[in-house]
Amino acid sequence: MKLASAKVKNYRLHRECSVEFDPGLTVIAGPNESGKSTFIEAIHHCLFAPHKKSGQFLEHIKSNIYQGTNPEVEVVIETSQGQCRIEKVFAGPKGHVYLEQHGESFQGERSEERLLELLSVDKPGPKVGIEKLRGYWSHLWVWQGKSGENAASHIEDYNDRLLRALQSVGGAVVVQSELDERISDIFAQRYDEIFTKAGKYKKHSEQAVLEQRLLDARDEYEKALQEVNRLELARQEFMDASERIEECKRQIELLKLEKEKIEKDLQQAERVQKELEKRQGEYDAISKTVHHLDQVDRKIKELKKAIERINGEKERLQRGLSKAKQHLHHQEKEILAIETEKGRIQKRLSVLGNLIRFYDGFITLLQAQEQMDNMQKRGERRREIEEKISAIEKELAEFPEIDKTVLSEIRKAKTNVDKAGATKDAIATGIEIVKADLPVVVGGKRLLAKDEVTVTQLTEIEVGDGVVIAIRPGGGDALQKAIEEEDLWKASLSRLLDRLGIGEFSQAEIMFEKRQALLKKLDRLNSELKGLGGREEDEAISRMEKEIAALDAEVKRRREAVQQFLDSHDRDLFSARHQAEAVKDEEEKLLEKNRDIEDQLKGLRAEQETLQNEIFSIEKELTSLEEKAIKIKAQIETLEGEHGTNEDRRKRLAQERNRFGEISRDIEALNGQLSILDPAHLYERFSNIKNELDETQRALDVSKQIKNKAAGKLEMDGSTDPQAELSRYKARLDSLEQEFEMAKERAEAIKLLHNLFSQEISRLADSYSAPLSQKINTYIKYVIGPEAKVKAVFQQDTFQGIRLSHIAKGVEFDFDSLSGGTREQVSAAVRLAIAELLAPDFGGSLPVIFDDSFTNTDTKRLEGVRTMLSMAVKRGLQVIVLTSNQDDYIGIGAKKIQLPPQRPVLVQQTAGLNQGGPRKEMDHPVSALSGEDEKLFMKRLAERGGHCGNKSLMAYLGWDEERYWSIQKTLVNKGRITTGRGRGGSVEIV
Amino acid sequence: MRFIHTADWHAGRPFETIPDEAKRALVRNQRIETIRRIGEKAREQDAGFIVVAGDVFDSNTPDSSTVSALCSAVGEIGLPVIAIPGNHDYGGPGSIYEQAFFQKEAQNLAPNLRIILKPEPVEVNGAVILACPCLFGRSSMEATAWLNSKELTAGLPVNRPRIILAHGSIYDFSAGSEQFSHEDEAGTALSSVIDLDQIPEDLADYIALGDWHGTKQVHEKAWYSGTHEPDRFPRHQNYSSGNVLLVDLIRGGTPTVKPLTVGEFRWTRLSFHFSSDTDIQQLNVKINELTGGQVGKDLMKLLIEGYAGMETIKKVGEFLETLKARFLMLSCENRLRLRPDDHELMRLKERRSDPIISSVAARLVKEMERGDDERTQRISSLALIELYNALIEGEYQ
Repeated sequence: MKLASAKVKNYRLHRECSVEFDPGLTVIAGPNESGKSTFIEAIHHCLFAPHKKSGQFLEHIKSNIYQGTNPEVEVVIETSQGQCRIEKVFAGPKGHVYLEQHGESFQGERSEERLLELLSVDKPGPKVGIEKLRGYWSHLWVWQGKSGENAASHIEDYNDRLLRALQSVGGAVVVQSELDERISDIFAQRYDEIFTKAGKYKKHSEQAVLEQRLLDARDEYEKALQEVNRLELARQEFMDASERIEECKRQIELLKLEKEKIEKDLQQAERVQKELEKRQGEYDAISKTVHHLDQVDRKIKELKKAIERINGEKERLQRGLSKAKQHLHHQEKEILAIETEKGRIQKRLSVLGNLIRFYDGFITLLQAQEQMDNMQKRGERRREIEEKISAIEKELAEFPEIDKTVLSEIRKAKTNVDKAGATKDAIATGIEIVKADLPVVVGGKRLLAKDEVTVTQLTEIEVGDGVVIAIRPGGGDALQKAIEEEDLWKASLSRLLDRLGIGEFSQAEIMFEKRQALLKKLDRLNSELKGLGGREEDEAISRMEKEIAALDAEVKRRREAVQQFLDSHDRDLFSARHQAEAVKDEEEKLLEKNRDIEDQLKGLRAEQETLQNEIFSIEKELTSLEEKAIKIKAQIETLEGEHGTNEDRRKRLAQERNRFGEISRDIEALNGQLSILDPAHLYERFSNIKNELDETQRALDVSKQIKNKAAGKLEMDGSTDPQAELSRYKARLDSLEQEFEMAKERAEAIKLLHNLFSQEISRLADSYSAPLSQKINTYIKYVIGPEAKVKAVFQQDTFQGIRLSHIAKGVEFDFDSLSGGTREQVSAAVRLAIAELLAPDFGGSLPVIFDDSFTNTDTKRLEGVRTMLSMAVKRGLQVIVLTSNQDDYIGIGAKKIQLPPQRPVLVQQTAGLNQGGPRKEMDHPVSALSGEDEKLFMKRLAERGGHCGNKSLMAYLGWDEERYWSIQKTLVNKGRITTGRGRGGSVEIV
Repeated sequence: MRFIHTADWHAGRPFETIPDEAKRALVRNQRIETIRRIGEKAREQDAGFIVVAGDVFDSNTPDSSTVSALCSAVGEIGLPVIAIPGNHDYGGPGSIYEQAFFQKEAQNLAPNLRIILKPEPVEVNGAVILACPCLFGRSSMEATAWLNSKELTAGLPVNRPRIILAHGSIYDFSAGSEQFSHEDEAGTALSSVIDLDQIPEDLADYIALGDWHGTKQVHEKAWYSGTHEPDRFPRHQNYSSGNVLLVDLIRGGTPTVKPLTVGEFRWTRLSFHFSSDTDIQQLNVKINELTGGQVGKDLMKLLIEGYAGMETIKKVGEFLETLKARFLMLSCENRLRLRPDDHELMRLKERRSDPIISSVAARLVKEMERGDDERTQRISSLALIELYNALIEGEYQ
């Protein structure tokens, strides 16, 4: 079966478009928005979609450009029995179908049935979705954007047909039986019951349960073993403790014996010690007595020596005393001589004092007289000046009192008069009579030739009779005012001058100057007068006179006292002062001498006192020595009275010394005994033994405790026999171990069975999938190379997909793990292989449609793809390729059809589509919300790194061409993306 | 002078290898019951007393019920029973003989029982028993050492027959390959060996030994009585247990010894080799010969070897299940290996309609026959049998 031709009318963007397919290879090329996919979709719908289908399906395929039309598609199929023409008009319930075959024609359902029979597919339900619809023949029909999908997922409905085909080409000689499957399932299930996915025993499997029981049994066995060991240990402890107890008891006996012996020795040592102490007491008493007597002797001797010492001292003191007394006497004489000298100086000093007083008074008197003369001279001068002052004052009284203030007032009045006059003159009109042949009267005053007059107000000039001229000087009121001001100031000036009694202004100036000169002279005299003191001076003179008289009287009185010492008596001040100084000098010298003598006297008197004290102390010492001597003598007498005389004492001492020797010998003997007994050592041993006894006793107690404790442990309650328990646990452990081993072997057996079944099933599956694998490989070798091998994977008789292995590298890949390019190439090879296998059922040929299916294939591989497609054609398949890049298929020997570019779909139409409610099963969701689409476009493009081929981005977005290109254009126009080169073009975020 | 020599009662022996609890209890209890039978024999034979040469109890810590049951059975004998501790129930601290409960039960239930806990001579019914009890921390050699001490033996009565009562293994030159005669499975420790040559020749008239569970004369005057009730599978053909010895004795004479059977249960070992599938009948006959068709009397250790087909293996399995029910214990080591017969092989491998099953079966048979690893073979056999069974079931569905 092949597609011969197709005609599409009013289908989405197509007004009318028809294509005749090549029986071999057809390449339909066209730019992206030319509607290739839409065209091929229309063919698919014509073949598989129910003609009365309406709703979204219909809205989707309707043209929005050619409104009011219905989509129409006509397809001609070439079958082995000739041509078959199908015509479908999609108009919902009004839609119709027409089928023509072998000269027969059918309409309506009948023709649909006929068609589906021809295509060998089941009838789709009336509510079949677009996606489901697209699934028809999807093993032959590679939709745009689906080229990378696993071809096996598109074969589901044709699996049986494929298997039959494979069998017919000798693939599967044998097929697994139902029993094979059942038995295999049994062991798979039993395997699952035992093993986890990781190959471990499942939790509740027999093996896991046994393993746990084995662990528990081992624990119990260990516990029982511990119990038995514990008893064994306790028994050993009991025995050891018993032995220790015996040993301790034996030692205690030995120690006790030793202790008794030492105690006896210690008692003996104590007795010796007591005797020794007694002797020692006696020894001490005697030695005390002897010592005492010796002491008394020594004391008496000492006392006698002391008396001798005192006598010697007394003599020495007596000598010192007489010497001091002599010295004192000499001192007293000296003091008397100095005191006489002192009296003489005192007398002279008294005379000198009187002289000084006299001269003081005399000098004062002379000074007062001199002052008195001066004062009298100044009084005469004063009287002279006073006379001069009264003469000047008389002169001044005759002058008008013109002072500076008055003068300036006058000057001001004069200036103002002059100023007003000048103003008046400036304003007034001057009239000069140059020639006067006729009488000229100006202002009532007759003027003659050469006369001049100044007119200050309206003045009439009469010249002769009958000629009167009125002159009106200029200035107006100002002239009048100047005249008035001048008059005013003139009156003021004459008033001032009148008050002073001066006729003229010029005199006022002269008068002022003269008066000023007199006043100055007066000032000078007055100030001199002031310096001379004034009248109180006279009173001072009279006071001075009285003072001088008093002083004179005093001087006379003082002179009387010193008359005899005065050589002369000058009355002048100078000589008086000279004499007075001489007297004072003498006084000073005498005063100094007097002070020296005082000092000397003071020193002598201090010495005198010291001597007196010395004498007193020597006398006191002598008295005390005397007393001491008396006391010592009394002591000597007392001692001799107490202890007898020297003779008595010697006798007693000899006796005591004798006894002392006896006792010393006794003591030595006792000490000898003691050193043999060595009580210190005995005590040490005693305490050691006591300690050892205590310790042994303690050890005994401890051992007894241990023994009791062990005995307690050994006491059985009789409820069980630990040894028997241990044996039982051991036996159980052994039997469980054996059981577990057997269970493990059983599990292994099941595992073995399961594995063998899986292996055999997969081997069988491989054997009938081999023809498919081989077929695929005959295609794929052109693209990937001969070293790549594809293996078709069947499971439970169902084609699951393929695995690609690289022979040289020895690696295998799942389809899903392959790259996008390889996926679409392998997928194409699988489809071609399947088509080839299925072709015999369809008259030896089938069409395979690739709608832009190699977008991820690079140029190098594309060569292989071309060869692969040519090969398919050679093997009788019809291949239709849709591409936006026809250069890819140059030189392939294909029929090339160019679809003209179409206007992209407008948005309004699809907006109408959306009014019906939420879209369902929309394979081509052309969104009204193109803003959303733009966002989505940008987002996906960004996800692709901001740069992407159109084809792959379209696939990534899952959009159809219309939707993609419309949004792409919009975004280019908005300047958000730019287009780039590359196959199918590319876009990039600006 | 007539008495009975017995030993190794092992009261309270757990018989841990008997999996069935009830049967285990029966076997345990029989050890007490057989003591009663000794009493009957003694009375029948007019014996004066009974000596027990050690291992009265199986362990030093028997449970109370065992103690009570034993005392009760001994009490019923009515004759003096003189016993020493053996290596299982040695005397000393914590031993059963020191436990208050035992002492009380012995006093109340078995006043005729005398346990000798010190190496010493004891007079009983005109005989002198030279007891060599096993004590904690002492070897059997030490236990008999006192017999060489003239001081201790000098004062013994001259005209009374003397019986040495001891427990332990001896050098056994007659046993050929085995250097010692000893029954303990753990092997023989030197500590429990008695040297008969060290015992002064004329000291005693009879040496009553315990420890060896089979009845055996080891010297002109020395005998092991063996255990009164069999308790293990025999290792030798001439092993005989379940006896007591009836001894007639005079001072300075040779003892007259007569074994009397008192044991109840049979302990047997059997090895059987399969050489053809029909041998299963032979096995049945052989077992019937041994047991006389009795039920509840036998304990058997069975070893099956050889090859058989799947059906036979299945039948053997069923037969063994029957024996397990009938016997007190069947300890079977089944080394029977699978060798499917032609019919079975056909049924597994020649399945044209089931290609998977036949190829799996073929691979399993091949694996089983490869023979380089026993475990792999076993697992393959198991797998093959599983497959066979699954097929039988599957085919009926």
